[in-house]
Amino acid sequence: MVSLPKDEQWLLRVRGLQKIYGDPCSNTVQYTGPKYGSNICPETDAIVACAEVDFDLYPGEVLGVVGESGSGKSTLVQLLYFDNEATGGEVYFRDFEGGETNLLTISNQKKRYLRNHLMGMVYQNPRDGLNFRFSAGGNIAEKLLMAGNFHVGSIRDRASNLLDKTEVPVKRMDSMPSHFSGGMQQRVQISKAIANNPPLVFLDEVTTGLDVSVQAKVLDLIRGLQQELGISMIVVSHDLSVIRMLTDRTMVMKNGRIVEAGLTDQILQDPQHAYTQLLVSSLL
Amino acid sequence: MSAILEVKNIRKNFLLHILNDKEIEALDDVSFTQNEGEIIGLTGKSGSGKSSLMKCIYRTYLCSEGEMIYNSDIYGEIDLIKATEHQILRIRREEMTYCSQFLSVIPRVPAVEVVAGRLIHEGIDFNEALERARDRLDNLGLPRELWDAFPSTFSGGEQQRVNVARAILGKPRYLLIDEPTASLDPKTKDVVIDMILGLKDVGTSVVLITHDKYALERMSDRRFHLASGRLEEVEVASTLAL
Repeated sequence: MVSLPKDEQWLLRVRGLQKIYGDPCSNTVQYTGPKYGSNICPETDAIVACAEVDFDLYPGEVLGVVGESGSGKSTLVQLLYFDNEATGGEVYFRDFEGGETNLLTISNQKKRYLRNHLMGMVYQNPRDGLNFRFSAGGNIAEKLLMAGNFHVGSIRDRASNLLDKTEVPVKRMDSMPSHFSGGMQQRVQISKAIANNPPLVFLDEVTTGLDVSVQAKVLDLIRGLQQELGISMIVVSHDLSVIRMLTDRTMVMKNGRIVEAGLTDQILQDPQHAYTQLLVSSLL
Repeated sequence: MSAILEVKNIRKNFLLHILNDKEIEALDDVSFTQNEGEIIGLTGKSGSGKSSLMKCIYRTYLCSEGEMIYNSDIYGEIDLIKATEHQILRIRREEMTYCSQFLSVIPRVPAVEVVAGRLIHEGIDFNEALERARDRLDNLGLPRELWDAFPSTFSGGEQQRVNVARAILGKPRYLLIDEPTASLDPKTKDVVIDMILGLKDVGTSVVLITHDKYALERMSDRRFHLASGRLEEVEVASTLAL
């Protein structure tokens, strides 16, 4: 293999990633997808949440995933974060065992290690990413504890540092997230996701449901953190303006498949697939 | 002189699925060679394909056919049509700048930071970069009180100044610039022209779209005219023989 300079190497490599609910038959993948306008197998009623997903994510890169509800975009990041178990495919991560081990085949213990040390996730609903029985600081501490950091003083320092960075008043470190506004909860979630300086963070519809000015602040925060820390990100959103603002490259999903992938400005200005053309022309 | 860009028989068609697969031809068999350090002026009516050609070079548009061999600092000779997305991103980051007719910026970033963006990205000290950006904006006559404001609220001419300042400050190796002097007063126009000529002096190759005869005559080494997607070189008898 030709050795490439560091920045030309993938951080995350995904091949043939697949999630099927129900009992697939040998024709399930073949007879579903955008060509048939459906992700339900006509023979067995198995549901193909996503299939044939291939991509490489580079260090420091922000990759967008767009598509309508049910297109498989959230499933994709859930599989990569092990929230959901894939039914097929291969995933390699450069920072784990030199990128030579398929993450889908490793033990649950190793999956937990990856989640705690090398990955972060921000969900649309803060209730999925935060433990509402713990304080804001407690939530960040939880992530740090999982990664083997047991020194209370340094945990509190790190937590206040993170809350400060994400513009959550440090005074409220010991308040419960349920007493926070939606935007603040989202910022606590972001603090938690980046607490261990992970090289890879997934963001699933993080601004959906927030009002516009709060949305703007959360997006500015994400963009600032990404530039400052050089984190690689996969940003899932149905909102093309979020994609335009945050990402370099974009994949468009429909019926569980990637129908088009390219540079974000190309996807927005010269979309090739009929579905992407419809999506872009629907932009207000 | 060595070539920086060799465009060979490119075509660009838009296939619009949402309009019953209507096909629109934007570029029809376009070929030309640009030498390093050369400023090429592109002219033609609206809709003749000038911006399409620029966007094809920048890969915002995907060419339907042809080859575009760019002599990259990083990769050597590379076909911009076949290059990987990561290669294109790196070329854009380090060598090639596209300055469109309309300013498109990330919202809520102050004008001076927009202009300094590329310098900051290159690792130049933040304050130093802002200082240089302020100098540029001052040269271009953008009122001082706007420097820390958000460009999306600016007038057309003010946005244009921010746009041009940003493109030029980065000292790209290859510059695509669309109507840099539109909506500028004569004095600022000369400042912009001098800045672009200054880039040429340090080796930048430029493709320039303009409707402004004066700008074209002062800047372009060679001129090409586009009509209905076809490109022809325009012979220029003598420059500045006004």
